[in-house]
Amino acid sequence: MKNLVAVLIFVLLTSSTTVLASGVKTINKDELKAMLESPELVVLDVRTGRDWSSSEFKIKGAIRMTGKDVDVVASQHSKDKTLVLYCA
Amino acid sequence: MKSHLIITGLILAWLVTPESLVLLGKASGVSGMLVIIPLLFGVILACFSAALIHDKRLGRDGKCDEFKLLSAAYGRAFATTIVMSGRVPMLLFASTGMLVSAGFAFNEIFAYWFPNFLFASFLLLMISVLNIFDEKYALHGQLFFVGLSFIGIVILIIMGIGSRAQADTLTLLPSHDLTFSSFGIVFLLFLGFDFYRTNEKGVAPVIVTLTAGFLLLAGWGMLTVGFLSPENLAESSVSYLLVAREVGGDIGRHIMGGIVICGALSGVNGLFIVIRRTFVGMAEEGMLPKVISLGWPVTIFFAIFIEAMMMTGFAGEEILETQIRASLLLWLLYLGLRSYAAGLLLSRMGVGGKVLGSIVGGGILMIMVCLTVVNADAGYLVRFYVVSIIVFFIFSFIWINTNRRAFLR
Repeated sequence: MKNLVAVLIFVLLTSSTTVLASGVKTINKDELKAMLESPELVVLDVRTGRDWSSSEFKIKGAIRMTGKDVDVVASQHSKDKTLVLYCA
Repeated sequence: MKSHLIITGLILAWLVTPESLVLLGKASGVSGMLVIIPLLFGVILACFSAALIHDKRLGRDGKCDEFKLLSAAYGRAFATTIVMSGRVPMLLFASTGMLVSAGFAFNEIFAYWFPNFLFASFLLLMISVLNIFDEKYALHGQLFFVGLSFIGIVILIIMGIGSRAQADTLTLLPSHDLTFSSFGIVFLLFLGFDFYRTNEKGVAPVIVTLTAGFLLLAGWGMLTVGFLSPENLAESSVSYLLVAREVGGDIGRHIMGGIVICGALSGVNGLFIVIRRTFVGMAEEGMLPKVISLGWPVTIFFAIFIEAMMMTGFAGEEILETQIRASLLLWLLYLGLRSYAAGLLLSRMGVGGKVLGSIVGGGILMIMVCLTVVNADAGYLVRFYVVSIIVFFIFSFIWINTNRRAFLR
């Protein structure tokens, strides 16, 4: 539970970073927390290299992938799934 | 006493870095409590290699002893190639990785609001300032960074010994494997004894320091095995943080945050000190432009290079880990050849040493080859070696030939 809270705090703080890409919805830690139990949720951890390996916080069950593969992975899931990308 | 402490700061520069703690965690994950055997092997091999390269009879004058030693054995062009291959990639790639790790540690443990890359850049700036002026500032800083890291690890070990959790877990530990790669990986932890510039004290202070380093690693290795499962240890890229959290909760986590930052400073500052010494010594020998002998241009050049690598997001590239591993193995190549060269030169003096030099140098080179072969990216590692060696050889060959007159004088 402690880990989960830590991860969620981290998500909150990092999700406050401005996302420059238009049309991409951002969510905060509370929104993600509410969704975590949902079977429709797929968390994609797109951090690479040291961004991932040096980080203490990793969301349990998240699928690791590179940003380049997002389209491929997205096409493998039905449209009623919610994909959350975790990038920093 | 003071000079002995400064020597300690340099020799343990790499041993207390977060990179070393990850390597030890991986080795502990494979070998469990038996990791003590590879650690013993590592420290003994390191002591033999140190005894060869820091033998007082080699008669160095304290200036760029590595280059003089290697050029006496292999010639100037190969000596330059070997030294640069062993030093430059390590500074560029490992420093980038360590600084970024320290940035993440600061961001995730101490100040969420502070950007990790900004903190990494701040640390680089601090190290650059220490190294631009007289070397004594960098050496004193080095002692401070190593001292804090060392004390921090000792505190966590003591906290762990006092914890019941360790005793409970140890009794449940299954037996583990001793693989050749765990011997090789553990030897990598003891690198840094070649940072020491041989003086009238010979190898004695190196052996004392390596023994202290061995005890520290053995203590930390036992602790990690006691608190984390082998799977977690072998797979985690931040095993040191997981162990610290298990040992001391949030306090342990904060202590480890400090160790990661000081350890990164220690590793990067140590590499900057050595690269400056190496380049200044080579410039004084005529192997690099005279302006390099001022020292500060070396620091500024590499600091800008590393900052550029961080700014362009290089640390986020998966390939960085392989490049750090390749750089470490090139350091082994350098060390193996330097150990052999020391034995060869001692033998030419008629005091023996060729057999020992062959065994130690050959053993280190064998570790390099084996760690390359077992690596999943073996092909990339070999290409990295080839490109590095060719680039540095071409550079030194051209430099020697364009400055032939200076060398003939």
